[in-house]
Amino acid sequence: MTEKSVPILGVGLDIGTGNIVSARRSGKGVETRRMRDVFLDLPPNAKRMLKLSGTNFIERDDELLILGDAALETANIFGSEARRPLSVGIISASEVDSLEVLGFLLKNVLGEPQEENEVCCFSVPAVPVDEPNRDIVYHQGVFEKIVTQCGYTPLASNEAMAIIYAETAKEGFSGLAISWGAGMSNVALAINTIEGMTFSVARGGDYIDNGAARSVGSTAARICAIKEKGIDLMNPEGREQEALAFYYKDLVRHVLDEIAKEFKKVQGRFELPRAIPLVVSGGTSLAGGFVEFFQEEFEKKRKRFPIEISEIRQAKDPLNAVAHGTLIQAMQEYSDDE
Amino acid sequence: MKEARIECVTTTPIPDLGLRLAPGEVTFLPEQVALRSKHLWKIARAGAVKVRWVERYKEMRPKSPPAPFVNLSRTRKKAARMTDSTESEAPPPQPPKTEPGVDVEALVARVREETRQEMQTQIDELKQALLHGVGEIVRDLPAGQPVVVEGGQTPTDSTSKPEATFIPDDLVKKGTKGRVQVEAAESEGGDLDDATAALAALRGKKKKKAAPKKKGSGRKS
Repeated sequence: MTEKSVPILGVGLDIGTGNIVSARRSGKGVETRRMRDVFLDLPPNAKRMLKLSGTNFIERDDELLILGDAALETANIFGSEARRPLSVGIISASEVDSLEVLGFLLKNVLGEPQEENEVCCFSVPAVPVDEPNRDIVYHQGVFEKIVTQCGYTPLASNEAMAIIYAETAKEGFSGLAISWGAGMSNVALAINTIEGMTFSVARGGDYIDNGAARSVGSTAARICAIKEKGIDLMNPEGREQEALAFYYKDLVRHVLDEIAKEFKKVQGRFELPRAIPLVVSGGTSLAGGFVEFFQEEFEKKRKRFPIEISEIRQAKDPLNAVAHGTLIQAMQEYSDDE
Repeated sequence: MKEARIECVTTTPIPDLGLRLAPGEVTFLPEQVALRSKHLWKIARAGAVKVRWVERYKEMRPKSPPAPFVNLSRTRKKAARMTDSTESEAPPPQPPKTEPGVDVEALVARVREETRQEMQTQIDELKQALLHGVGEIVRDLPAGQPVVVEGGQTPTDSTSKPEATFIPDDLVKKGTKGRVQVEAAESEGGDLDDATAALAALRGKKKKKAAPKKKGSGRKS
């Protein structure tokens, strides 16, 4: 009797300002599918050129929308800015095309469900503490609907909590996770999977790119390209890298200050039994020397920091950690049933 | 001249004087007229008006004109001219010119009342404009609000979940033309297995959930 291949159900989905990543089990490994969450509009006569170059695009009545990395590259070539369906972590109110683009991107990143109404656990950010008038109600509602229309059962999960699930199993799912995203930075503190504190700061990689671009008279797309080409935060070279390092420092300090401030609000409610690890993840943490850079800033604040940290480490796969964490939660929905 | 200053506290007619005053209104009556009125003193005892005696002639007296400049010695003329010139440089403040018989306080009260009424009208107009503007914004707002979902759970009770009517229905369009190639990668799942096992162990004793699981889901053989 031949053994049939076994589909393992459940999909994890990381919906970020910079990237959309899905993760699902495939045999003994994990298959991740990623698309850059950006687009750029072009006149319809560019269609032939796009087909030849193998670029991702969608056709509309009077325009073509280039999707993904190609949009960012094209924007960089022409010195313009690519458009983003999400702005500062949440669906952009100013982008009229964002819902259509997001629907298309998610359908392709998720693929077809393996069975009807397969569970898809998707990440949502927390409400930003520095912009309390923003909320995630509409954002979450839109993605629940898109995921449902793709044939899945949606399950929303906090972005930084997903990192706790993916990276702190050996500590019994206890830790402080920071997801350094493009639009915002999400923070979660958990003890034995119990969420103690979650919040976000409306600053991330885009804040760094925009700030550095303004400082040196460049575009955010160009600064982003410089950043992703490779930068050593401990030894920045040239004006652009110097500017990037300044804004990285500012972001790290701001987030650490906000963690201390927010923890003081909740520390009376629970006690931390032991020192916990601090896990950094997300695309913005991929810059060279980020962990050392972060550690250096953290050490300056350690004495006044209200949480005892045992170690600072980076997620094993910073770009996919949230997708892995949501996948664990999606799979858990099935394993509970066994 | 001694006068009675009558200040109205509540709207009260004074029949034998033929007066009807509004709250805050002030009027003046000659001493003899006020003393002759019976109704005024009854009403004053009841606290509906306040009566105070005032001397009004000092306020009303117009400034006397300067004496004519005639038949003076040369020295005294010069001194007088010098005095005149200093006076003309900085004239003393003149009391407001009033026609005889005009009641200044009553006039002030009337102007105050008119200003108050005008301001009230403007405030009412502003309120109306604001209400109209807010009404238009509210009309444009979507009717429903989605439920805030916390702790990674989706609401299952359809009665408690107002439908988010403002989210378009066709978010995933089937007929969209285009070309998409998603970047795919495969990694080892060892850590994921460890995490899943640890999580399952931690939640081992928890009650099994019902929805959205189905029988036969998960690993099949």
